[in-house]
Amino acid sequence: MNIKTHKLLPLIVLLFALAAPVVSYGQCKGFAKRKCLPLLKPFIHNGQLNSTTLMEGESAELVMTFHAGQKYRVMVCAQPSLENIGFKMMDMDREIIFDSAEQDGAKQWDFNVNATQQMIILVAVPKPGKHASANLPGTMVQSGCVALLVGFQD
Amino acid sequence: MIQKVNNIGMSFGRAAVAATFLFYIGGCTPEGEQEVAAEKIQDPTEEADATTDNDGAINKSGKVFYTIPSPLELTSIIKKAGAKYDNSVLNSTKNISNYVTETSQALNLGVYGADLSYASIFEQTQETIVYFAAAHKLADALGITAAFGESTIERVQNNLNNRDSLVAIISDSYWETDAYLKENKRSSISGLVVAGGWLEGLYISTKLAQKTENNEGIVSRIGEQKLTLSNLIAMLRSFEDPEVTEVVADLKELKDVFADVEITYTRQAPTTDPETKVMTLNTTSTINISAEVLASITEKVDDIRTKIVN
Repeated sequence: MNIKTHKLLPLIVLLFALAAPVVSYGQCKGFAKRKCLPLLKPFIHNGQLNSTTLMEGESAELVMTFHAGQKYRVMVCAQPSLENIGFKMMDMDREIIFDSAEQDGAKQWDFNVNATQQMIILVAVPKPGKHASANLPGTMVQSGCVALLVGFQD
Repeated sequence: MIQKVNNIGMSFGRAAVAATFLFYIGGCTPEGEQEVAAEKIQDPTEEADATTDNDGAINKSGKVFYTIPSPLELTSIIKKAGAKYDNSVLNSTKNISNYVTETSQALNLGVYGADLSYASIFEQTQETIVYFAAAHKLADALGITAAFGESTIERVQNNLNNRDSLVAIISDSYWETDAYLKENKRSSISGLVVAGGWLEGLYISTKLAQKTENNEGIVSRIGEQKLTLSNLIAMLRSFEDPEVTEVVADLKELKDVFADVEITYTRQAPTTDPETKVMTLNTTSTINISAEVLASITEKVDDIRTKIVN
């Protein structure tokens, strides 16, 4: 490596680091738009971007009102690095109504609602310990963009 | 000399790697989600506590987000409940020149969005164009060009006779608005758009309830908004923005009026259609809302809405 390259490399690394979170969120939006929104159709989404970056072992919850007489689709959409992501639907007493783990890791769920009610959608990325390769030396903790989409059918 | 340069380079390299590491630890959560993810999950009839410590309160999950049903959904459910179209309840687009502050532009982008949703759900093509243009102007004023741009207006005009496509375009436009604002560290502005839209949807519902003879279905839908109001307040309080604080104060007063709405649930086990595999949540509810409470809600919503649109 010549001297110029050696001097510039750390600077490039630093600039990349400074730009990364901005790029990351933009990419998260782009990912949600390109990869997730089309999968929600023919349901109509609620116009709000609910996305976040999750690491293995992390979880997030979304609270929303679901209206009587409507049919909904709830969908969790994650980058391939988080392929083991799962979600649960719970009522406000945290009683589980749906668990994707019991449905072959389903990434979406359609349901009808007879009474307007609040529900919690819990999205969780399993801890690294549950992966086959997790304990191998040098294995990095995976992270990625997760979008939670809720759509209704008019 | 070469050795010295190399040493400096190596030191800088280590510093850069360390800075990279620290920056990733501190910076991997975008601003938008930090602002939204603030509070613990609670009984929807209880008010969110903005001082709640996230780490302490949420022991089952790391981040809690609140999301609000769109005006499209609200107008869709009141249509199913028997509401008719009445353009006298809409906010006149002549008022648009009054909206010069970022807060009033954001709130009224939500208001016009709800009016646009109402017009499109009821297939009022002329008013759909007019309100889309109004939303376009306010979005432009807020610097959001992607959401309601010229190409989108063209798409609207090309799909005026296709209600489903129109609804999809409107829905996408609001998604673009929300995403753009969150991406550009303006989550509180995004929250104001959502608040304006929800409030206008509620305003339309209360006015249509007054104009509808058999209005029980619409009144029930209004009473159920008690649940969403709690979520909306929780979402807005997390922003800690003075402009949002004023809106939250108004919504808290509205919440006090909603306190007398009683929602009773009768739990029933869900069932799944064997053919479609779609589950139905069979729990039913009774909404108890007296004429006096409905009148108080209508009056309060009217007051807040007047402050927003004038």
